[in-house]
Amino acid sequence: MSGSFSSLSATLSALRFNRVAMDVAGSNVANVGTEGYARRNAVGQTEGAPAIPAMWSRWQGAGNGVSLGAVERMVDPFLDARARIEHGNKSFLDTRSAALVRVESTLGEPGEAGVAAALTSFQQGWADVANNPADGAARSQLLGRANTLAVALGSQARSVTTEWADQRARLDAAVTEANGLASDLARVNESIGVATVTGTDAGLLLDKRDQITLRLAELVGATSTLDANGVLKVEVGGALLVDGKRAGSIAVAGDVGYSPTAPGSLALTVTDPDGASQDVTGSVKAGTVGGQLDLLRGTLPTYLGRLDAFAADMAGRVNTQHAAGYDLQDPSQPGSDIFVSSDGNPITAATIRAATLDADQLAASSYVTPSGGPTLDGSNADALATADLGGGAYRRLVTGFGAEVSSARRVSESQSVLTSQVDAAREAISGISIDEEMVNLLAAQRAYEGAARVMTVIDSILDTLINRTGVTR
Amino acid sequence: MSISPRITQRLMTEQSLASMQAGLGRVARSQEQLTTGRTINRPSDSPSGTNSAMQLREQITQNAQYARNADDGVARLGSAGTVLTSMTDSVRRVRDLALQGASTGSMGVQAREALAMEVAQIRDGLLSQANTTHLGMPLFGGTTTGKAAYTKDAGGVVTYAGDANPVSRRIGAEDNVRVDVSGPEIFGPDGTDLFTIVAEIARKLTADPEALGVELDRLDVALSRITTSLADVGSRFNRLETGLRTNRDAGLGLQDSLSQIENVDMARAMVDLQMNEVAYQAALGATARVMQPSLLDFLR
Repeated sequence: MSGSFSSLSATLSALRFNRVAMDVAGSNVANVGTEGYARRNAVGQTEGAPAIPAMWSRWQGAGNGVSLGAVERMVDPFLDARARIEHGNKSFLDTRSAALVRVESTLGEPGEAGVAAALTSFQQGWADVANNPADGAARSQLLGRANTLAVALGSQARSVTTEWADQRARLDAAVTEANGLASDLARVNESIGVATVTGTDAGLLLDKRDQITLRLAELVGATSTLDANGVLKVEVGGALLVDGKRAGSIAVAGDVGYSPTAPGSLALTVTDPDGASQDVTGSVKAGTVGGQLDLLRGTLPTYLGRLDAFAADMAGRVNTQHAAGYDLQDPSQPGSDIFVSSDGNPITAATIRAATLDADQLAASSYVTPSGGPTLDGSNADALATADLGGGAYRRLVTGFGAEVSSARRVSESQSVLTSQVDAAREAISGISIDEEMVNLLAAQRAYEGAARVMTVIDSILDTLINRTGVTR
Repeated sequence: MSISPRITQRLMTEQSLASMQAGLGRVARSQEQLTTGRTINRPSDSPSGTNSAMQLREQITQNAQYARNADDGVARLGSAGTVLTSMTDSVRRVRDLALQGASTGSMGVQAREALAMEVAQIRDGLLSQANTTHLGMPLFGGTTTGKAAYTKDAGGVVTYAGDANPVSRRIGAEDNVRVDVSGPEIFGPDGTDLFTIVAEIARKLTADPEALGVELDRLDVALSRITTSLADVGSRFNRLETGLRTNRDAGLGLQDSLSQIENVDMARAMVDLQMNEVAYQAALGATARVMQPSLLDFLR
């Protein structure tokens, strides 16, 4: 049998608990838009008989009120892990797709401004020269078109190398951010450890930790695991980056501007908290950084390589055929090169230039006069006009790239759907419903009112006991 | 998107935002197709369509070039035909005059000299016609860089200054038509050419009219050579004209194929736009109504 005054304290515990419940609901409503905030739930715990029965005494109470068991953070660690994986994949695909779409928009194909159109118009120029080899205007026009073709190839190569340099700079930025996050995470882990030991509410720190691990997954495709002792470990490409309260670092090495050797010199290394370095260049397959590495080491250099091969092949075919003809100026010499390299190395799309020639130096003729003089023949010009200059290879390059862009975009779209489904599932658990909080608030309010009523009743019976006992009239 | 068992305001906000974005994206795509008039605005819109479109564009320009080549060849052969026709008339006139002169009995010396004078003048005319130029180049001089196909020295002897290289126009990938006739083909080889024969006639008209018979036979051979060239020019002219027509027809066909691949079907695109707009408006309307109410509106 409990005493009457203990009933008062039981009621007081109800008042206290319901105030906490209202605080929690209020805090949930206040944080409805806060990024990374997980819904809290006040869990009550009945105060009653001790869990361990005593040998020589007996608890005779009939309910001692309520106490705050815990303020739960409503999260599902498995769903969080899934979300990190999907977000990592999503940023990998988004990075790739965005860069490819940007490069594609500068191709100008199919259309009147691209390399294909410049190539056709260059060959048309030869046909015009073949029609009238004496016409200086046709010859000058051809020289102009050779220049246009070289410029079109150069500008395409430039737009790809610009994208490369851009992605390279973004890679540095992403790695810097990831390093900052890694050391933040180590500090948060340390605080969580302290909070757990002292028994203070670690909810805020846990929110922060989940936010950082998700961002790390987005950036470098990091995977996070909690070991049996509650120590959080973060790995990047199989190398340990954060081990509890100790953080390692990530570093990028390699040229910052594009050169044919730059993609090979690119290296991503993770130094673990113990100071051991590991090369993870090939093993980071998710996150923004994974997408950037894929672009920098694979897609963009491959495209440039094939564009260079086309430029060199085209220039070679033109120059060879041109050398088979005779010009008007000095027919004793074979036709000089139409396309040259700006730096003396073999021709690439970036270095191809139209040689500075006089109109009369175009070798349109296949014949010389018996005395070695020039003729107004146009057979060589016709041969150049009808030659296969590798346009098919260029077409395959463009359509292959188009197919890659279109698949990248499709995959990225479906990954977006998948990611948003996982996010929705997380939101369903951790998200705040204002309606629900209002109901919780109302319930707590009513419970508070009820407890207050109970207190009035106990007050009343105490009044009866104290002031009325023994009074007969 | 599946509906989760527990719905929160934020979830709904985000899902509405995503579907509005998707709707707006579809409207933008329809709008792009309508404003550019093209279904393929970048290779990824349809990689295989891009391939065909690039090939067709190349063929169209090539085709247009073949048509231009043919046009150019037609002009050149046309002027060769005109010159040759007029030269045939001149040569017939020479033949008439030579026949007159050959009837020795009916003519005095002075009349014969007049005939000889006329023949000599016709010869000058023939020479200048043989040196006709087309766009600054001698029509019958092959690929020579000189200004004349035939040159006349101080003694009046005419020699061919051109060469025997053919001049051709490409009117198809495998169809290269010759558009010139070289001097020797029309007038005969140097030494026995038309000009030498005509000069000989002029000389013999006064000096040796009885011997004109040999020259007349040789003139007939020369005349038939010219008419043969003329027939040749005519047949090649026809071939070019046919080629021109074929190329123009093919050009139209190719253009048609290109526009089927690349261009937007306006009616369909308009209907698509309309549908996407309706869907977008529906998403907006639904969002506006769904986002409004909350329990707060009903609590007092």
